[in-house]
Amino acid sequence: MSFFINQLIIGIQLGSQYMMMALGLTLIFGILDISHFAHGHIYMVGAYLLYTFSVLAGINYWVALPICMIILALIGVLVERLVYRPLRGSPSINTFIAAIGLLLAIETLVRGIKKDAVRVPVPVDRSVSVLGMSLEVQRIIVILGALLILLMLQWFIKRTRLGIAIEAMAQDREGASLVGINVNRISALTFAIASALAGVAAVLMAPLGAITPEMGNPLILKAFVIVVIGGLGSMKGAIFGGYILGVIEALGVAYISSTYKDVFAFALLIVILAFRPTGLFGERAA
Amino acid sequence: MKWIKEKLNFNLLVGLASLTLAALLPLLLQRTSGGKYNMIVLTYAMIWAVAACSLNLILGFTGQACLAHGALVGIGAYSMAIMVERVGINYWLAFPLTCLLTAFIGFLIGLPSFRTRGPYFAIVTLCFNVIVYATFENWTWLSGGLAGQSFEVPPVLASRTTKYYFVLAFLALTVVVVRQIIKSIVGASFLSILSNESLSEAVGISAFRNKLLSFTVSCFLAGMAGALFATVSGRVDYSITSFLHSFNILVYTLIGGVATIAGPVIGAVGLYYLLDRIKGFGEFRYVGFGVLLILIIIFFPRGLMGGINQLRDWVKEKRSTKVAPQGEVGS
Amino acid sequence: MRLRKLTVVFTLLATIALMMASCGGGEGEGKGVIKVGLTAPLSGVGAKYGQDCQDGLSLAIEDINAKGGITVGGKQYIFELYPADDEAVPDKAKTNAERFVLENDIKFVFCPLATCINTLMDMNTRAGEEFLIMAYTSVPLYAQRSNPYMVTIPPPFSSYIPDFIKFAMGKGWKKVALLQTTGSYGELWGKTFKEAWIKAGGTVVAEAPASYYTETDFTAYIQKALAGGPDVLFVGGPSQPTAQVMKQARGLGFKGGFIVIDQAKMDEIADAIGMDMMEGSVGVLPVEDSQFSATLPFAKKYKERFGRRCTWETAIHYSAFHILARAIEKAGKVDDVKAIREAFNAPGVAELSGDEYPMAFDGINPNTGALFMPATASYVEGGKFVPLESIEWWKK
Repeated sequence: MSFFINQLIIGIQLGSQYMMMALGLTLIFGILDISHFAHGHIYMVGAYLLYTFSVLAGINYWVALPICMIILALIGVLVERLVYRPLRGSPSINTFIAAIGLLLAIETLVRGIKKDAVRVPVPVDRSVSVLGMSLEVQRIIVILGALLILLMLQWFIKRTRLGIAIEAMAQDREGASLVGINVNRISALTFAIASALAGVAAVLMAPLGAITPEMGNPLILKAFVIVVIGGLGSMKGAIFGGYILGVIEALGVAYISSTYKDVFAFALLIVILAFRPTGLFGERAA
Repeated sequence: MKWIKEKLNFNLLVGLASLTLAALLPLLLQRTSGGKYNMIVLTYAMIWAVAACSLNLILGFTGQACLAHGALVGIGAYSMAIMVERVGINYWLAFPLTCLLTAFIGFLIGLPSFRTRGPYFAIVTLCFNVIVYATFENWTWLSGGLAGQSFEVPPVLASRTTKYYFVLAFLALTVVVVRQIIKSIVGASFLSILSNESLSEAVGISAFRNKLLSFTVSCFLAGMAGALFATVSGRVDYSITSFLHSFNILVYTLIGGVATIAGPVIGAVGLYYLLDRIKGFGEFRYVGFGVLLILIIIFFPRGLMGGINQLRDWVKEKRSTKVAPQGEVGS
Repeated sequence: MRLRKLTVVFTLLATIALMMASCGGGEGEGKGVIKVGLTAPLSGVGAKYGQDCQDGLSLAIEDINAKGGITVGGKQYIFELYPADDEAVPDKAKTNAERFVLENDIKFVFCPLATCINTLMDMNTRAGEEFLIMAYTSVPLYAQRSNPYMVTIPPPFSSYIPDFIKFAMGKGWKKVALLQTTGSYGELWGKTFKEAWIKAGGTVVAEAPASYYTETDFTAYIQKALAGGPDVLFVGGPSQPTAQVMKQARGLGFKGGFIVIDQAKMDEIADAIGMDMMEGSVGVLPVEDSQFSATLPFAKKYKERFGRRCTWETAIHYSAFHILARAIEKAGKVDDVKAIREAFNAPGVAELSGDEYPMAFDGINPNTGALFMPATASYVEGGKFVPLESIEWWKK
């Protein structure tokens, strides 16, 4: 039983990371109709930024967190302005190609600068005992941090004027521009928020593993699967989908097969879409 | 209507001219050993051109982006190698069987996938590709693991030159088939799917059935590309089923010009050859390639052929406005 | 950071200049040129691995050329390296080799990946286009099919297994959990190890192979492995994720030992997680703890120059290249692949002393082309690497 609960906790922690990535993707898709396939690479850049600040420059981890978020948000705005805005109105497959170009360029550039994998020390280097099995404190920080971010995002979307404008645009783009919402500003803001979310995920997760130029690849596939499972553009879907996939993966490894862990996510997706072609919470037809 | 006819004839001429040129090229390349190398690269490039044409059939003419073509090519290559080496089927019989098998698997993939559309469809097919790759990577009894599956090519196809002509012939065949499909009645409904799905449903053309049909044909051609790959390379290993190939095929198609006949061929042959030639630039070549992709898709959203067509239309428009200045309103 | 970027740019420019110069073909001094190809992953996930191999070859060529090259049939020759990126994809390795043979007229091709070597083995015996494969892989490919023009450099991976098992059993560990990487190489290792372990009287309590190439968090796998209560974990893949697995296992309270497959480098793991966590692990001996007196100076020189740790890839490629150079000299011909392969068998050619070269060699199997390179395992005790006796696997 304690083994099961431990796997469950790990699943929730995995899911927290997935959720933060999927939220950003689904925001971008819901508001701008863009399949931002380079989002995982933005995450990777975030992890390298953390390395630059906390290891190379020696800045405290908790100070580096907001710095990384802000820089990533700016990078997100830049990406939107330079890559996606010129493509507004073109078929979604074109933005997909642009995203592939972007991720190729980012990944190889980073690898060209730093070939070896790097690491960031854990800010709280301690383990606690949960039901007889030990758990690194950083994992609890990831779970709680993700929840906190989620609450802040909800507050922002429901309670602030900008947030309400974002939601309005997600629901009805043409209507939103008719009531005078500035589409360009909202686009930039969406990318800033999504990239900052990726930044939080990267900073929280980076101390738990090695930082490599290709670390974004498997993550972006999973995040996309979640977004599609939950329904493109649905925030609720991304949140539930993220946690569901994390738990399924952790339990799947424990009770089915670890070799085929990556297959679970994709098989689940195919099954779900066969029954609900627009995902669990997807309302509008794509 | 007459104009379209003329244009098609013009395109036919260009097509025949390039085919002749491609057929004459080995006479020149055979002479030097450096030329022989170029012939090999072009042979591989043409295989990917077949794959790109097959993707074009589904992407360009029904608007659905399939990201499972890498897996389909891989399945084709493996089924060819396994049929000949392990089952002992004659090469010339195994070839069409491979195409049929891949088409059948494609049909099975299509059944659930086509309940979805647009980005959903792209992701579902990508998932299939990841599953196929994981399967081939881990089922070493199927894939042969590290060693892969070796493959005895019939002696007729042993030399580089015959391989080149063999692939060229199938590429030409593919282009003709794709063109015929687009021209035929089925093709008319393909195009209507692209332009307005709900409208075509209303007039009784079942989008689902037609998409599935076009997808199956597309998979048949992808299987053919796989069979050609196995023939040329002589050994197949699990890396051939990677989804990176799906991305590559997509990039070839879009850069060349989606929904045009020549675009995927030019895109695949041009890009494959280019990427092989700039290998010396190391890691950074992909930085340039990535940026180039973005620039092309921004400034030439319809690819190279689309760009040429745009240019031609623009020139035509310019001419006609000179003749009849009152037509300026439109611009 | 800036400086490193500058050096990168500078080396890039230098390589381009070098390549252009070599294209010009102006050699001067009447020296001949022997071209050597390397097809390896030089971009993508395996870029560092490929770079390490390339460094070894470049250094060897630099040293040999600085001494005036080699004399073959009364003529002086210098070496020139042609590296080509195959992104770890066999069919790209194949086109690279085609280019080496057809465009560059290369007769010697180094390749450090088993899958890629396999495709090279299909093509290196074609009449008129023969080339010698210098295979750097611990998978004994020659066991399945022989190739007349292949020299395999490292020992077969299985030669480590008896020592690993002897060490673990000596500690009284009987229960192992398998946690190595997925994929063909990991599967092969896992299977071979498992059989040997059971034969030696041990039990396998859990199997949780993970994809070291894509996974970043191994906790779920480790918990599964630990649930069986193992004494020792069988781990390994690329060094960084291996370090990750070991660290997380310790974080989850695992107190036992680790058996680390040869793909992972013990020194790189130590760099990443420190020696404390590695207590009780057994794996391949780190370069800097080598028993050969020439290894440490070589590694130090390397580190000074490149600012990175010297790996076995570099040290072994450096040494093996000297064997190739000797074989060419011995054969007295620069383009007769058959004669050169036979020259490897001549007494003294494939024998390098550890006092002169960072890796010693003790000959070659004339039939399979496998070089006799000793395999040395080491374990961690009291925060130090303790070398085990070097294994002369060819004598068994």
